[in-house]
Amino acid sequence: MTEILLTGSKYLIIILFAYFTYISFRVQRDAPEEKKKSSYILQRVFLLLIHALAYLCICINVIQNPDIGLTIPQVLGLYAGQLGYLVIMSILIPSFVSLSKGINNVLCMFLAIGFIFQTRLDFDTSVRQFFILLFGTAAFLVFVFFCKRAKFLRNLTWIYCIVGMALLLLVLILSRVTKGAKLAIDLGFFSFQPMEFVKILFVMFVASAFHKANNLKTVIITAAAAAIHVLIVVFCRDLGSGLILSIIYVLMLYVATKKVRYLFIGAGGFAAAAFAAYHLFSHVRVRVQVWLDPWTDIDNKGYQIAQSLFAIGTGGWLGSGIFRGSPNQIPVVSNDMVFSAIAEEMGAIFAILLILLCLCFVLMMMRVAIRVNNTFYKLLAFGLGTSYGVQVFLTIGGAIKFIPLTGVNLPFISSGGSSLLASMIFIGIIQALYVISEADVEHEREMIAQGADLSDFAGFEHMKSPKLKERKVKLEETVDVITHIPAEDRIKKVDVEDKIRQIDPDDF
Amino acid sequence: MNPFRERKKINKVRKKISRGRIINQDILKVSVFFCVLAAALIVYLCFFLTFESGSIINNTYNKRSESFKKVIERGSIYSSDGTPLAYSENRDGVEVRIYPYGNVFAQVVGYETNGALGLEASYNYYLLTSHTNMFEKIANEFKGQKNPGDSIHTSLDRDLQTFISDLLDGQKASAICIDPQTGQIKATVSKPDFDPNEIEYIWDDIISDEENSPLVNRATQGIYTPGSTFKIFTLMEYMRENPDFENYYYNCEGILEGDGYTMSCIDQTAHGGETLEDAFAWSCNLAFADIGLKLDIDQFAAFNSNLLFNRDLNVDIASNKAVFSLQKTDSDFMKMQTAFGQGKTLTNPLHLSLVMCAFANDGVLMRPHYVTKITSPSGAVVKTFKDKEEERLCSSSEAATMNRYLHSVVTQGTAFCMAYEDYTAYGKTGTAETKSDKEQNIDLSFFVGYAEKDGQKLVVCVNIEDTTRTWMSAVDFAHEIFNYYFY
Repeated sequence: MTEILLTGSKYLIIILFAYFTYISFRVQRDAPEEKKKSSYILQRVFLLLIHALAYLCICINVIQNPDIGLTIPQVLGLYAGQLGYLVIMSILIPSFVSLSKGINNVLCMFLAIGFIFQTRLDFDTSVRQFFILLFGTAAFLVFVFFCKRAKFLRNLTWIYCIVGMALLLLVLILSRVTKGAKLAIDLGFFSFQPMEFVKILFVMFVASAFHKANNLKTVIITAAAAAIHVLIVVFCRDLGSGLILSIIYVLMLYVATKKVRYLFIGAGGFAAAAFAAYHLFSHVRVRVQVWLDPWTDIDNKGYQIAQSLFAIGTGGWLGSGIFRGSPNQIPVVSNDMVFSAIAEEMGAIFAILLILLCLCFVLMMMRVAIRVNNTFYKLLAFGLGTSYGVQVFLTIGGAIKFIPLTGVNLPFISSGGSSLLASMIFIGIIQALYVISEADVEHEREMIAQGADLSDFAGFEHMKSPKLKERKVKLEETVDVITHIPAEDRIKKVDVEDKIRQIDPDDF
Repeated sequence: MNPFRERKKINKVRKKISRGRIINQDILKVSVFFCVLAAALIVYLCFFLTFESGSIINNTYNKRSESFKKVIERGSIYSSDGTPLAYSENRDGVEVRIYPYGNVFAQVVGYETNGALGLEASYNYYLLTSHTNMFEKIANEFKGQKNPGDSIHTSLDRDLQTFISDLLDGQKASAICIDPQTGQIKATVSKPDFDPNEIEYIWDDIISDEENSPLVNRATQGIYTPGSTFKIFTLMEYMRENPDFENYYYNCEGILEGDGYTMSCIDQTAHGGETLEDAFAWSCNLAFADIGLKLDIDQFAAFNSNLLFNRDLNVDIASNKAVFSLQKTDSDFMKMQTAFGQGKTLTNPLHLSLVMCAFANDGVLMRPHYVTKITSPSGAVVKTFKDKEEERLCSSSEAATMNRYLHSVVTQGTAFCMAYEDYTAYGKTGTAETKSDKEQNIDLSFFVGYAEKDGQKLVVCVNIEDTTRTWMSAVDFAHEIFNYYFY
């Protein structure tokens, strides 16, 4: 009977998760928030159900198999804590704080998957992770409130840059080599990995630099700063992060300047750097060789990726069920390889849906970037979204041997305190930007409703071509006209909508 | 106007306006880029699961089979006539693995505990996969029973294997029989052996028995000096380099003294004046030493790598590579020694028989394999391993010439004992000195060859270590095997 319960929950989780992913894409459509309300409620219900079903499976396995070494009160205690957290995070906070419910629900889903798998892989880590998450959530709330009010943030260009580099230098000097790279500073009670925060600081630096000015000088200065960042990271032998920083920079540069040639220069530079790294660093060569053929040196260097492939392959499409696979055979499974553990026990279908949900998360951030007006915010949201997307691609691509392993983790799901803290801050910033973008869009809607041609209103005011400048002048004139009409003569919003209704769309 | 159409109109206007937002186009492009990346990941993952994972996860490093054992009862292994060679039985709630033929299939079928060996090891994943139908699975889950695993069907010939196993009993020896037209391996015997039913009790004894090493499948993993069987390779290379090879002539005086070395034919027999065919049939060392000096060594090495030296033999059981390492810079003495089968060259019975398979099949090697199909517990075929061409090792005219030479070994040479049988036999004998004691030479005796009758063919390779212990050499054992198989 328990077997039926386990199998049933396994399939139900997959179905619920599939529908959850579908809704997550659907709520991004342009429709008033009231209409999406039922979708949000459904998402929260599914989220809590998946979490509960997974814990049901964990409990059954804990009872059946004493080798796991856990007791039911332990598991239920953690479950209660996590449930409380998920209820507060997904239901209470959105009703008191203005933020994107769509982003928030997906975030909670990631956190729930993280809860489930950290508990399954290592109970103690999971408990620890949970407490760090509480701090992270506090930081998240601070950033949601703080970012949307603090206008000075966009002017702190060099502070971001200097703090970021200082943190990196600190790592270079203070940390000891673990797993072949210098990653963490040991603070005694906490091993602090500044790299996670440097990514955010770096995005803020580039965004604010291009917010101030968009000329060749900025390009050169930011490129130099980016190069120093990347070089320090490479000296720490943390090539995955180096790769993420360079991709973020190139893409932000492209979007900020709208010049395709930077993409080509970036791609060329990347190819040259990859070539140089391959010939200079033995560990890069090892990674590439292991990627091409993990089987000849399966005992040693190919061990991790081979175990990851075994896990994914053995799990198959539907997975072995929680606690029924052996993900602990994979080295550093809770961190870099958590995707393989998920694929093994929840099945490849679930894993594919997870990839889609990550994509959805990226698109949500890009949507914020598109809707927000101010250049700094726009680039910030874009940069953070890119950073997340690239990191997810590198982790998952590495785990399934699509690309060589780079040793980065899956945000919100992998273990690691610094990563979780930084990720919560990063999502706090995104949520703040969302609130700003909603205000911008609302403002714009009003202007349109008042008959203004605001087609160019969104962002990048200072970097227009002459033709666009002309249009901007026209626009300002229109705004002028609107604002200078005495209040009683102003066209009412309703009247304008009326006018629009009378326009035949074919005229456009 | 109805509100729906109004809404649509306003949306259309707004869309028109937003189209003007060219600023955001680049962000959109990057978003599309991320969609492509995600699609690539998903497609690759699906590709991996559909086409690659099956062969990847069936790896001894995948320890997950341990967890399968909890939910699946290991499937059976069958011989070519459907007799079970290994099956699982539930005795008082404990799954017991039974090998009804005991020692006979020891290394080839192998065992599943203590690290696993043989087919039990290489098909572990299949044996622990269940293709029972969904309803039965659910029913089993209700009953708390294990699902039965899939079974593998092999090409092993139960009678032939038993015969050879009895024949070679008491020797340190191995024999392998392959049907060259299909690539199916009919028998693989390695002696000394052990009883896999008792593996857990005798484990400590066998792993400490280094002199006999019963766990080694000598037919596929044994590595031996080829002795005169290597003359097959030297001969072929000489034919390739010299189209007028029929005109070769050598006068053998039984012993050859050169710069600080002495070389001789077996028992210092002087073969006298001989053609290439004579030299091959009589297995004249000195003639082949002479040929060795005439060969282009680089070309010889390339040719040997075509003939499966230094390559994975690609059979569905653990096997070792044959090694050929002669270089142009080696001394003349080494070249001469290598040419007649001493030197640094190493081969194994499987390698020699695969080369023989190609000769017997017009130059084409069929993929060597034990397992023909995998069936579900209800008998439905899950997967078939079809006989297929592995690669062409030599042209069909070369194969014909080789067959002529190999046949003359039987009609007038060292395998004369098979000359007057109902089947037509081809082959080459070999003796290699493995270690020389003061008192006696401990030799290794090889025979590799094939016989045909009524379109049926069988390749056999026998090797006997320590021939001093027996009055029969490898060729006599092979003769017995052919007699058993064809009569």
